[in-house]
Amino acid sequence: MLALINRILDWIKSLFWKEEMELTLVGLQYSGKTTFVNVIASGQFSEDMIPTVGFNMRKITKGNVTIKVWDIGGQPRFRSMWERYCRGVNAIVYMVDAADPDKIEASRNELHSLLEKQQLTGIPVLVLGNKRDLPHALDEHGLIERMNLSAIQDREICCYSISCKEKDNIDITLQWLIAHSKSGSSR
Amino acid sequence: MAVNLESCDSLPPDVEPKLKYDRLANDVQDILLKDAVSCICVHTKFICLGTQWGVIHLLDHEGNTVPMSQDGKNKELQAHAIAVNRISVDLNGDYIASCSDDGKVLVYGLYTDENTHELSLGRVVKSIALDPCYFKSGSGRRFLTGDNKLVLYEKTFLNRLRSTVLCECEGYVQSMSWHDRFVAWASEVGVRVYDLVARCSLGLIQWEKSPNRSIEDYRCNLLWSASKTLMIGWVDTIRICVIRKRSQIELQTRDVTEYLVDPIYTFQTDYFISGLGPLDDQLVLLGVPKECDPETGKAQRPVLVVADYKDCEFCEISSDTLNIRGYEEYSCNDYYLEMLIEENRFFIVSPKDIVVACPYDIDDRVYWLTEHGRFEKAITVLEEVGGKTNKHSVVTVGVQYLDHLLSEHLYQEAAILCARICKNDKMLWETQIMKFQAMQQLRTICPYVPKTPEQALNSHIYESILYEYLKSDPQAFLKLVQEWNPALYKIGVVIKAVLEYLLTSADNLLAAPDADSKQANNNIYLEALALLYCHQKKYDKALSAYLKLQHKDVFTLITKHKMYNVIHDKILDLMTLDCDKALAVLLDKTKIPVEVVEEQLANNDVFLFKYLDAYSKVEPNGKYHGKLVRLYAKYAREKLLPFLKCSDNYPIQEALDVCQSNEFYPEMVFLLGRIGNTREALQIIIKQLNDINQAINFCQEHNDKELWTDLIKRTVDRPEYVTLLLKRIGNYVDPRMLIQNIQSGCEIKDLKDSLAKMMCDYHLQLSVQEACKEITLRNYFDLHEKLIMSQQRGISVTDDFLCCVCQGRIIIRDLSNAFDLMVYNCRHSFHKKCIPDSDEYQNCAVCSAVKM
Repeated sequence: MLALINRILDWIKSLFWKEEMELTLVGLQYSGKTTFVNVIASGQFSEDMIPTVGFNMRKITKGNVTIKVWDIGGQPRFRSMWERYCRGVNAIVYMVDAADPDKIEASRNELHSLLEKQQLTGIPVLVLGNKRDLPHALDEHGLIERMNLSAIQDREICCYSISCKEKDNIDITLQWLIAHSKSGSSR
Repeated sequence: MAVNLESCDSLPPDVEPKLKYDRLANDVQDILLKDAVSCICVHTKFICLGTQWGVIHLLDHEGNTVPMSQDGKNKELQAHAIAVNRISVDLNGDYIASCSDDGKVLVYGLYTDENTHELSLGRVVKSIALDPCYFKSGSGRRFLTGDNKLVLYEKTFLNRLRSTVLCECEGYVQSMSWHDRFVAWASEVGVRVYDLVARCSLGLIQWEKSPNRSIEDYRCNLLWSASKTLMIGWVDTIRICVIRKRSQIELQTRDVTEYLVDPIYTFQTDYFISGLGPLDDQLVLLGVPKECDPETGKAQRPVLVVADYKDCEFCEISSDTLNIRGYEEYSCNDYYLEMLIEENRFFIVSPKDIVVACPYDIDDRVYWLTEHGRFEKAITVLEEVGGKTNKHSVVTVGVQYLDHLLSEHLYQEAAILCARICKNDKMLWETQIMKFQAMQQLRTICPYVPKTPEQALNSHIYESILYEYLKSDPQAFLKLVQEWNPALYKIGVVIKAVLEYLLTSADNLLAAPDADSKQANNNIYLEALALLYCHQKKYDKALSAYLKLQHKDVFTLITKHKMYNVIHDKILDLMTLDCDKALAVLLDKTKIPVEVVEEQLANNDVFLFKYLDAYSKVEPNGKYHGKLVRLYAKYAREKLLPFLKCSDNYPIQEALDVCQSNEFYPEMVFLLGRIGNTREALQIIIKQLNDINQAINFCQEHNDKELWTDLIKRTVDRPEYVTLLLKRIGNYVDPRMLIQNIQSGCEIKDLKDSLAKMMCDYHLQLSVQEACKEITLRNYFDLHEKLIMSQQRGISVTDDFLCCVCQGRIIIRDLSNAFDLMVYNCRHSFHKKCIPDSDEYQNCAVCSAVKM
């Protein structure tokens, strides 16, 4: 009974308190950024995605939070634009293919050089290790170590291991994102 | 964006360019192949492109197409039937609005279908402006359209769209710009600024009409460069206006608008203006020269001008002529200048070309400067920003500069530069020095190479430098060996090099025409070699080298390194080299046993003499004095006699033999006198030396009557001696001895005088003796009288007198125990019984004991 009242209250709240947030999704190509956007937007998982050219922009509404997502292409030629799209956003989501050990190092270098940029100081970063359903995929600890995340001290940083295919940990990821919406980040 | 635009610089090549240009590539190229740009709107995240065919494309900043719809299917938006006239985007980039001559007005949501519109106005719509805050739900979702009147559309209750005509104007509203509460728009008469809150016009900025051209043929370029600053570029005139708020008093007293437009700057340019904007404190202007190309009769290339204007003077700083595709066919209305003011990013748009310009950043400047050979400036620029950027650093540029200088054979400059860029970087030093080595210019870099032990480079660097000097400049080579810390290089390697070099040069020596100088050089090498051996602590080898060189440093070497044990067999060489210094070394605290030296010098009397002479002075222990006598006799007779007189350590007989064989009579006299053979000595004086004075002195010294007799005997037959003798003898012996011995008939010169003198002397002698006798006698009597006087005097004997033997009192009351007493003048007193045999003691026992 109490749960029902709570849900009704939430619904009423969502009518009046709309929150907005803007986040940028970056990471090397084929790490599953566009897939992730599709999964959180509509719950659809598709294997045969074509590589993103330039960027995709999406607005996703979760509860009373509207998330504007800049999903930037991960191929090397787009990486110089990452900084531009990360400016002024509420959070940067950095996607890593946790099951591809060959690209971890490149991914780490790109992340660290991105976060060195003056204009991005202080923006919270969420590192997502995707494809945890695959064998030998790195877990959170492995990612933190291999991505050298402990070296990033000047901002909030978080790391989750997720699977877009199995929809593993998508919920906690969303929780984190919503907590960093405009009002959330000021909380 | 890697394609560098081949903009033909009209500036002289030594002026640093202000902006760099890149042509927008990727998908945009395909679009422009089929279509042409009719308008553009730039947002920080994307670019909106409107084309001649009425299509709107969304591009990222690299020119890639971005899907227009949420499902990602629509790559482009067919918005209009004919060319898009104007596109407007809100601040957030959520909505875009467009208009066209087909009469359609479109407001399109990139994320949502809410609050979108598609209006058919049935009129030619030249311009549109979306409220910058259109994305906000409380903003009223307003937008303005401009045809022959200015119309405001806004959302009212229940999502109805209400339109309000703000102004009926003269001709078309050909462009407009919305910022905050103000909208600026241009019509045929000029530019108006409208206050959307107060719903009133703030005034008209009129544009002068020239007779041969009408302003409506030119597009008016409007731009809010800051919140209340409006930049207008129209035809060939630039105006910059500021919106000011009127003072409170003015507002209350007069019926006027709250704000007013205040034109601050007005400039005329030589171009027809296609667009303008701010660049920091400067102004950027895209223009097309007014005149056609005189050769082709077609339009000239557009120019991008950066100018200072804050001093009310339009002063061009740089002006780049842009090589835009198909420029001949375009007029100023075909070009657009769009910009992201906060990023200083400019988009120069022509129907078939989009070029992005941005200011030279440090890396670009450094690259340009190095490309143009202005390394010095490039380094200064880098040093200003702390010496390093992502792409360049003082070191990388410095190395380039160094290579350049080396290729120009400016070795000295290169060396100075090398020191400047390498600082403490050892690896860098080593690689750079290799370059000098390849050019045989190690000598130039040498003074700059770090030489302190902490900064020492690899030893082979120093060895190479030394080797180069070895081959080319022996003097400098020697100097380096002297100055450098030997820890810097492997001494053995250098020694080997020097030896090899000496060996080969020795072969060449005979053939060489300038053998002298070669020999001189070789000596320098030898000296260096000696030094190197010293560094290596092979002092014996160093010593040999020095000796070979006949170099005086050898002595310092010996004393410095206490090499006294090593030089035993080299004493002779050392003496030959420099006798005095060698002696100083040999005698230095006698670290070298005198026997050794003596043995070494046995074959060289001169050196032996010098050594022993010096030795005897510092060490008067009498060793080798016998030998020294012989050597003095040989080399320094003048020193012999003093030596003989002061030394006791020579065998006299041997010395005598030496003197005899050398006929050194004074020395012999001395020696004979010493052994007591005075007669022989006197004989020598008289016979050999013929010196009667000395003979007299000699006799006087020994004061022997026999000697005098002997002297007289030997001299009486020599009248001249007799005279002298007569004159002097009177003081010493009885002159009769002499006079009696004078043979009769002997003629003596000045006999009378001599005799008189002798008599005189003798008398004097006598009277002196008489006087002496008298004095002595008197003295005796005086003293005797004094003695008697004192002995006759009494002595008071008091109570405290004690017997010196038994310590008993002398004076006692009880006379029965009294003894006889003895009291001396010295005040010692005794009981008579205490002194055994008291009668024998004439004197006090205590005092006589003390005297003993």
